[in-house]
Amino acid sequence: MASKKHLIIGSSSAALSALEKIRAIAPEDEIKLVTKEEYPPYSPASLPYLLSGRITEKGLPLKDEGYFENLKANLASGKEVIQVLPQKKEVVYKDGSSEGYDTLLIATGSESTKIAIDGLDEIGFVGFHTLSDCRKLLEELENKNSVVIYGGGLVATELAASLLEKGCQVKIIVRSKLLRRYFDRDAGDIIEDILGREGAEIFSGAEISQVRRKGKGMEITLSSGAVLNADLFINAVGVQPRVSLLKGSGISIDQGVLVDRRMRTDIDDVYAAGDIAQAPDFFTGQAEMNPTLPSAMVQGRIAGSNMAGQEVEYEGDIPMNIFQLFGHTAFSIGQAVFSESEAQILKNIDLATKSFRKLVFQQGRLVGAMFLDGDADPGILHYLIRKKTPVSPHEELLLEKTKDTARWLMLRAERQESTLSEV
Amino acid sequence: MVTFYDSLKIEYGSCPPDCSLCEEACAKEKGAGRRDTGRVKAIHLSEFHGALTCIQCGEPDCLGVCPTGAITKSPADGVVRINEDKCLGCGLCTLVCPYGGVYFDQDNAEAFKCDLCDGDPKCVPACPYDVLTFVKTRPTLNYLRHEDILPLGAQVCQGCGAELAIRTAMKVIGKDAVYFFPAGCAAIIVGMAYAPNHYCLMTNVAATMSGLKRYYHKIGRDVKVVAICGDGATADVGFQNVSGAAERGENLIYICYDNEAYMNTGIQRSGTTPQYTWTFTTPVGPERRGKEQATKYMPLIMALHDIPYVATAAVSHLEDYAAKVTKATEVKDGMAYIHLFSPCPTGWRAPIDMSIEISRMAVETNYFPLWEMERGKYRLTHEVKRPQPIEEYTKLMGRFRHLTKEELENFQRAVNNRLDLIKTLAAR
Repeated sequence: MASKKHLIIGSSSAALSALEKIRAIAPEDEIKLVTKEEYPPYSPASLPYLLSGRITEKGLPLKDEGYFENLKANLASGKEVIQVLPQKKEVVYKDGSSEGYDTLLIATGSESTKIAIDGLDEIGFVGFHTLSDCRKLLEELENKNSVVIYGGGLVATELAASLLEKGCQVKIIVRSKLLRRYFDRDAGDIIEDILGREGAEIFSGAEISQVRRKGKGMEITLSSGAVLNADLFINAVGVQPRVSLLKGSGISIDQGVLVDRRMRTDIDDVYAAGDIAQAPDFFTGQAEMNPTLPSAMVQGRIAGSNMAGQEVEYEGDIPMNIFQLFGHTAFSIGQAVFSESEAQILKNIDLATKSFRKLVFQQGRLVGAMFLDGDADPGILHYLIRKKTPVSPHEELLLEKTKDTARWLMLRAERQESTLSEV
Repeated sequence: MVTFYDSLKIEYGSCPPDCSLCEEACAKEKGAGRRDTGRVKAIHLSEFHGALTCIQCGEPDCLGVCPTGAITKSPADGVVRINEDKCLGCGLCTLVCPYGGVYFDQDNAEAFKCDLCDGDPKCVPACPYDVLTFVKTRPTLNYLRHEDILPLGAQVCQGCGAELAIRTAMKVIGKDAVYFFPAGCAAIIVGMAYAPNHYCLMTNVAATMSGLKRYYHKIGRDVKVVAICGDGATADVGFQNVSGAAERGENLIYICYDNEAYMNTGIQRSGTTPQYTWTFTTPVGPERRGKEQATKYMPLIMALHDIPYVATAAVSHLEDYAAKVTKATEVKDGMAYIHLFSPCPTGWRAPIDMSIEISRMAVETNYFPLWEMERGKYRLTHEVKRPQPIEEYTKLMGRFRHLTKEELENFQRAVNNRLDLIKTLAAR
């Protein structure tokens, strides 16, 4: 079989997963990664820890030196793709040059969602998605202390925690409710309570009507009429996929680049994976955005397999997330917040220990899990959901003794896959 | 690059209730004695008592998801390790590990997992119930990386056990040998090899090899001669010359792949066909119940010729098989004989994807015990911890579909007797 040239735009989780997979299947194929970033590949998920001082920039890179050489892959940094021409099987760089490919993987990831607030541009703000965002923020924090975070998702929450650890005064402005996508009202209240006790002020259901300069800082007016003061404004509203380079290429884009179960776009030999991809959801089969690290890793592997000629299908994205918050662990997997009406929901809230467990079942199988300090292995709950392991009639036991029961059910399921199940 | 990977084998659900000795030993070694810092975990429910730990995945999800690349898999021992200095304490690894192998330490805000104590796991000696075994992969995996001596496209039946067995043996032995085979299934396989090979008659393989081996010896060259013969040629029509060569002390490597009938000619019974087996020459009907006679147990017969090395092997236990083939190549002063259990889906009336499972079950029911004899010393090379009743084996194949309860009992008795005999010899 003639060897192929695989071109990957991007160098983070999805791109690296794809690289490793292609190399494992096709030892002789040419693999090139191009990224517009100058810095060695890193994950945006590390940035809150860089901010809090848990790591320095030295600990940031995803891979060691020599990684690309060992995999016989070529990484070109500081090379921005501005156009994709699938008919010619070429990409065009900002410097005017172009490069051909046999297969192309778009793994350009996401960028901060743009916001338009009356008066904000004049005063200035920072985002929090790239290393340069983080560097800028650290610089600002040298002489600023009171911060407003605009956003209510995972990034906003982790950012708030990191800033509180640094001794900043933190105000969070959320349009709906903090972490609404992953945690329901009860769990969300407990999380807000934890943040509140650490000194954060949270404004839920709040819209910003305008921002004006006040002295060295700013005055923020909410549509409710309330007025807040802060030195620094951080946009953590969300992320959107970096698709500008695909304009005019003919590749179908909805909220992100639409892909099928083999991570193929609707153009031959062009794939997409990671934050940029809109891939089939595990539960509904509909193409949805799921910009999380685990998803990027798996999608990258699937894309890589198919690019190298091995037909592999993706069962679909399961939304999931985990984060640490002042000694507490919270995670949410699958249909934990919004579920079908026939779903069976088991919950256990302990306000004294501030712990929370919620399991959602459908037809005797787990479809969602939401925990706050519930003492469980999130990965095993994810396994039970993804493998659709029958857990009936142990639903109550799974809620009451989650860790041991989930471990047992997983081991039993693994055992049954082998024919020595009777042994 | 695969070398020798470390692994921990845990018997499923075999722990006594409320025991956590493994976890405590680990915590003592790794985590300042706090039990929740143990990296092997006891599981206790009324439904189940067991243990689990990291299975050192080949393609670890924890490694793939770690945002700082703090998790690595060593090419030297295959162990997956977390670099504390790089760990962010984000917990993503715990979110993606499907097997409960990585845990989160709230106090230090970091993830931790089993690292097999760098080759000397402390949990293993702490368990008095044989639940835990430290396993190092054998050189088999190294052999499997060698170039195939057989070309692509062997014209054997789908699911042929002999093809795998012969291909593995040839990888272990190498090209530096002359291969001998008679008419039979092996002819289609060995005859195609990229190594010198000679097509003999069913009645004279051992005699032919003896001649060639003596010639090489005479001209001062140490060339291995290897027979790959079926049970028909070895136990029946060719027995005379095999026995003669063994008695004369000819230096041959003789591998008999036993598919328990003359298969290549269309499934006819042989001396090694078990009692009650259906074949075309031992049909099942109102007059007959398959083969009437018991098996001729070739490996013991060959051992009693007092040759230097005899072993039984099965395609489902490749490490054991490869180790035995290696031992066979080291014998220089007589015959080395390997009797190989070789599933034949066509002749045994089994699904084509069940060969390995059938072989494994043959071993686990003690129908085909894995043993070896080295210069008079017998030993079992694989201990079956929880032997299965013979029905678990016979039910997998159509050739035993007709067995009555009484026949199964007889079959079981024969299996028990055979194992008993081997164990008695091993205890000497």
